[in-house]
Amino acid sequence: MVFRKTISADGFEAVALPHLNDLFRTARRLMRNQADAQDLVQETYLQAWKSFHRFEPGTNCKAWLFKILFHAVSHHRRKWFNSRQVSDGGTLLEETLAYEPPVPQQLRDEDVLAAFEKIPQRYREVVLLADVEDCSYKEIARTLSIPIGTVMSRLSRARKMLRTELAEFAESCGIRDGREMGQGV
Amino acid sequence: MSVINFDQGRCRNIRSYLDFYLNSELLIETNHEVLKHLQGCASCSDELEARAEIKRLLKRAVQSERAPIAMREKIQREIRRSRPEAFPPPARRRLALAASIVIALLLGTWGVLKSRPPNGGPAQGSEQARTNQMSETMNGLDVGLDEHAYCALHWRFSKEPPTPGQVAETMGTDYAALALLVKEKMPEGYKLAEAHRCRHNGREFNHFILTSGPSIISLIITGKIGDDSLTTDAAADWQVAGVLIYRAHARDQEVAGFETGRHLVFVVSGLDKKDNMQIASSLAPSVHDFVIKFES
Repeated sequence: MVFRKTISADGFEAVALPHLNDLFRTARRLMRNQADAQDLVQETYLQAWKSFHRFEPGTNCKAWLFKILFHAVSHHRRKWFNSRQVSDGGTLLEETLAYEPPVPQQLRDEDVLAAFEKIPQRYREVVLLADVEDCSYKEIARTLSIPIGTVMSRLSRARKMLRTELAEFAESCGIRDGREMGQGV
Repeated sequence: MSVINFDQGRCRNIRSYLDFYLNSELLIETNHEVLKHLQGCASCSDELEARAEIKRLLKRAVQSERAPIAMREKIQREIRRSRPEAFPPPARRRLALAASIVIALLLGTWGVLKSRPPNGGPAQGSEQARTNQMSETMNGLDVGLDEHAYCALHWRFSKEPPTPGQVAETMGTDYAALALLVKEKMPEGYKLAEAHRCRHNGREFNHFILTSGPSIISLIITGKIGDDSLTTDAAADWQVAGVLIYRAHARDQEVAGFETGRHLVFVVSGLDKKDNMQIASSLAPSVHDFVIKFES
């Protein structure tokens, strides 16, 4: 008799492939271009397939795939960071964030995405998980392997950055917020 | 203006909570505090609305993009081409396995002690020697056995057998025709469960898997590499219509193999020697002809 855990490509595809769009969208917003995003997602799926025996049926497959995806992202980032000493830029941003600009309403998708792209990658990660994928802070902490406090501080900074970027963009092309400007706190 | 300035610290405090409030991640008390403030402060309410709007805009923008269709197909192809890594049994099973080994050893020792012949000669060693010898005399048949173990025994097949169209798509029309031929030559009850082409250890395998109940049979065709041959120094175990068939038994599986000028062909299963050889003999002439035609 042969006792082996049976693993099927069909079974894997049935649980993993439905999340392809979510993974791709996220990857697309983290990488510089479409080709890199595709490579990243493909790498994620192959890695997932290779370690499919470690996935416990009935648990959250999407969370598992995201964890693999972000692991790959941080791996790429490490390589990138090692080759060029890029600083976090956090302190600089902190200083410019004291002013809370009003938010314009008539923005197109591409404007929003262009503004989003200007935020450093590790800040984009938390926003994508929280605001697009609706993950809880606990899930994000687990996915990114960082403490929950870091998730929260990164998130609030990231959102402030996005608001600033959007407001600057809107100002530059003359879109004004519907509300009265300059009334803020 | 004075009213707003009066409450400035309060507003700043509340605004630091707004994102958490939006995500419903606040404690009930804090949540209540924010809610109460919002009811009385138009400026913070506007701010909340603006933040909700950004969240909505970002979500919409990110989700406006979909994965290209070609990408899904590429991933599917890649998945079917590669294999999962080794399949270590989960910890719980490993423990059970260890326990059963211990029990088996204890029982075995007890059995040996009880049945030890009067002269006290070792009853075990010979079995071990026989197995070792067997794996040494695989004579190239292990190529087929490995592929069978990797692909056929590890896989759980889909309920639907592949249609000739699907076989043609993954392996080409020649192999689709061969699949039909093979099915004809198989004993009653066998159906084609899987047909694929895969690659490992530097070889490309064309693999049909046929099943009938719990029986799993592989027909494997692979190109020869270097001076690959089944005939080196073993006598054929069988001959049918001029095709020499070799056989071996290892890892609970029975392997029968024959060769053409440029290919090795294997029939592998967990059936007994006679049944596996019978199926191999029934397949050999037509498959041999097919491969030869394919080579020319």
